[in-house]
Amino acid sequence: MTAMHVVGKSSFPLVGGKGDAATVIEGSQLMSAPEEEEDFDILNDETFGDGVDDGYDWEEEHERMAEEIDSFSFGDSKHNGNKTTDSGFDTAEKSYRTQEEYLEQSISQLVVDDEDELGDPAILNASKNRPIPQSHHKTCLEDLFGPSSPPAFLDTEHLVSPTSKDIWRVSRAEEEMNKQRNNAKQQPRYTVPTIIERRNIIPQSPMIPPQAHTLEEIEKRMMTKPRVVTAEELERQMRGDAAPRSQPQTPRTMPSGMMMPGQQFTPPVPIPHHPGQPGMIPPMQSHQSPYQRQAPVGSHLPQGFSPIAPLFPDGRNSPLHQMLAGRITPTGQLPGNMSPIPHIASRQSPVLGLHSNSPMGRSVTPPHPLRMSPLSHSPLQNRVMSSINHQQLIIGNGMSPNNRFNHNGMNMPQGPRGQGHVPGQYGSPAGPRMNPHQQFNDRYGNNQSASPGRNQFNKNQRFQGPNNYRDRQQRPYNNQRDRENRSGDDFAGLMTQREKDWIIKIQLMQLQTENPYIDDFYYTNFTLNKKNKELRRQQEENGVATEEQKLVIPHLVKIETKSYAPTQFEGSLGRLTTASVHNPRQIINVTRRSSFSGDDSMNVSKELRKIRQLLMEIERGYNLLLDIDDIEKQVLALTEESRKPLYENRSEKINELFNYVVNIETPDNFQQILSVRKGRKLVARLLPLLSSDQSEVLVSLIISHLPILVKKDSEDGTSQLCSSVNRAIGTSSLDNLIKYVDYIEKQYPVDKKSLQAVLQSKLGSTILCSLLKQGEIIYQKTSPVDMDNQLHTSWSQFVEKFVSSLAEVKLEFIAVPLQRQPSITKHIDRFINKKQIASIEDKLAVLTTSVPNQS
Amino acid sequence: MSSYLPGTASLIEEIDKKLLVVLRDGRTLIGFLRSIDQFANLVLHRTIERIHVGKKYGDIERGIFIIRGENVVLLGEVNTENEANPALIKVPIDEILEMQREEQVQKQQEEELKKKALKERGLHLTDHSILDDYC
Repeated sequence: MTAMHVVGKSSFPLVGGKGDAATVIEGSQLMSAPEEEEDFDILNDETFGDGVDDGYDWEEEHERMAEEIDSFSFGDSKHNGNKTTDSGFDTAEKSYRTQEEYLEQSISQLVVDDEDELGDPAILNASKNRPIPQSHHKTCLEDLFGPSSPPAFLDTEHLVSPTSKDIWRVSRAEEEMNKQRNNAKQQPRYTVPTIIERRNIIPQSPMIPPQAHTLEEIEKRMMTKPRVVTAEELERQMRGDAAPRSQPQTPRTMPSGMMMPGQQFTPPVPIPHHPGQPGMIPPMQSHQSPYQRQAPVGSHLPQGFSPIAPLFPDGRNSPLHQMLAGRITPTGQLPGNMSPIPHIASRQSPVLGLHSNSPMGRSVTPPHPLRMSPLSHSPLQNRVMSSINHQQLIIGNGMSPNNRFNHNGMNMPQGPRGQGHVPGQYGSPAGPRMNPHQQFNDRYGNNQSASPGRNQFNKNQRFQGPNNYRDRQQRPYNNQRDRENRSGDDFAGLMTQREKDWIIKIQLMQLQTENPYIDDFYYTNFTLNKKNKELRRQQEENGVATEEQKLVIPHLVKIETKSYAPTQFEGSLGRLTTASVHNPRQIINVTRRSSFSGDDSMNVSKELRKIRQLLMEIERGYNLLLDIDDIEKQVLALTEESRKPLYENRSEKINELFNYVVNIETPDNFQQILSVRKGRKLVARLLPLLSSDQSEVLVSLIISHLPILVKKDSEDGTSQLCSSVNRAIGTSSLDNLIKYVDYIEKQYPVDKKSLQAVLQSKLGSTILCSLLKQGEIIYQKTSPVDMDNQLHTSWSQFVEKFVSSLAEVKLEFIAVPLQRQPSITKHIDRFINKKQIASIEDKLAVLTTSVPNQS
Repeated sequence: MSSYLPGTASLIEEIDKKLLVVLRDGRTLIGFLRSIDQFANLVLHRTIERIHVGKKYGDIERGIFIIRGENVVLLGEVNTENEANPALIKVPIDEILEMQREEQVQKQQEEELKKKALKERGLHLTDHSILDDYC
């Protein structure tokens, strides 16, 4: 596989430029094709009065700002270049010859542009006095399309496969560099000569006009214009003013103390000795393995410092970083690659993440989490990325005099690209981040004399993001670990602990739940029931009463309550939005038309509508009930003091629900509720929650609706009501009991034996039994002296009535109460003589004995 | 197993160990696990593809192998101590490929026969191999 890749690479068109002739011709192209895109931008911006324009005004006062903006346009042109090159990548790989050549043409063109921009000292300097368009560079195309063809640096990325783009562009640039370098000095290890030379010559063929490709490009750019502009704005916003200011602090030198023992593992990259270039760039460029070529910006940058680190001096507060990290994207936690910048870079050159592990460079499968990060496809990232490009350029402009660059490019006998496979760097299947810092430090720290080559630089750029220092902090540990791992295996420890942690976090994140009842209600209840069952069994064995287990749900303050508002860009036509996994693009906007539902209900019969209405109302009651439930769960996790507000909230809700159920204004509302099973359950569930006053009202209501309920007795849903009522009665006073009795009698006023019917229903008999039992409890507690005479009389009347009713009811018809109450017999003893009791003994047994004696 | 990591995170334990991975298409890979992600995408290093036919096997060097997680059927650590004394006989690649081909042809024939027999009995055998190559 590896071998294959290498071959594929070397057969790329345009792999390396070599030979004097090529360079010369390229040079001429440089002259001819240089700046039009920049010009477009500028003029464009002027025309549309965009942010960049502002920048110009600004510029007079704030040079730095202006530089930045200028670099924007640089970036634009670069991106355009990317775009064109892009599509060609695949085709080239598949060896579609003609296409390939066509691409080569355009690519070379692009490279020329790039080269020009950066290589030409005049232009670099021009960044300060940007506004003057360099008209002499204009081509006929410009005349055709006018200067307004917009830069399309972001949009194009969406259009093309991400894989290819930057590979081409940068490689081209590097190529050029190499060519120049080679001019200056012949490198011994040049390996892929023939193909390269062939390719390089092709672009110069007069048959194809140099601008042929850019036409399309420009058109595209025109199409995509508005967004571009706004993206820039966004960038600026994101970056804030701080970014440019921090430039000077480029981490030129990494503290060599940073170098960890682990570095020894860095595959021993032979640091070629370059005679006669003190203080110059070390031979890093020699590592321009094909994989490396994707590196987007490196070639444009004056080497020797990270472009990114200066942007985020504090490493955390940079808006960029926040933007990226603020999302839950795994990115934020990706070790090494954590900094948003790597991401960005990777987006631009999707293979970048792999570029150091050459064999995988080409693999279609995304091997690394980085690749999968949802962000890598988000427009946001593009934007960010582009901003970074700009930044880099800025730095280039601000920091480095051109001669630096030139030195770099021209005078340095850099290793030729052909030898790209320096063992440690690319030949090794090192993961995307094979301690890039170490490598960097190795080179950088050790070879003080030289700034790292392009590759190094790229690496740098990838890993020296905001998280840079975090990286460093963790390094010792990692190194330690790595060393252990590698004791027997040179390649062990490619995944750092942080990367591992990152994966673990992702997995754990999936298990995290705020409310298990919501996330997995059935499992939660299942396990809870299981636990409780076990507990109960233990209780029976040990005789120790323990409380039933309840799930405690911590009352979490929701941190992420930010709702997504699509970004609106000023002056944009239509609705442009950014989209990501977390904020997917809204595609359909469905709104419900109220008239529609109105029409619908017309067709439904009145009766059905009424039932639906009732069901809906019951549902509403359930919603309240569920809220109350939730509060109860939350309360358990809180301290006493912090519970208060929740309690208040709860009682509020209970009151609401109570008022809702016991709607005094519409008395038949309750009847309706009771006529539906769902409603009965609701009432049953509400009853235990109520205060004694409230429950008294509700029980009275239930009892006064007893005839209806008795009819429904056979149906499901009364049993729950039974237990609730049973419990409610269990806390009542004698006063209340008699009230209840009155209600019962009101419902069955006919004769003395009215309780017959009641006894025949389960609910009825349960209620009666509960009443009697509670009566017994009260009579036991209170001495006869304290007993209110009136109450005593009415109560004894009730008991007599009960007994006589019981005597009348046939044994078979007596419904078994939910709970048998042995104490009833005792209670009846108080009022009734033995003889009478004996006559109903068998019937009483149905209500009292735990042994079912029904047929 | 109380500290068992959830999901693909459990694979972290396997990193830098020699693993045998069976893919959905029936291929068997052996290599050092270098990197994983939450999708159980794997990066195998020094990978060989091992073809078993009967008691014989042959290895094909694959170098670095990146496996999309969904294609993994099973995976397990290779006991490097036992590797030294295999019960199987190693044969050259060409040989094993030839054997594999024969085996496949034979399998196919059997399948055909089976199908035919079922058809005669009025049964239609749906071809599950379309759904999944590994069976």
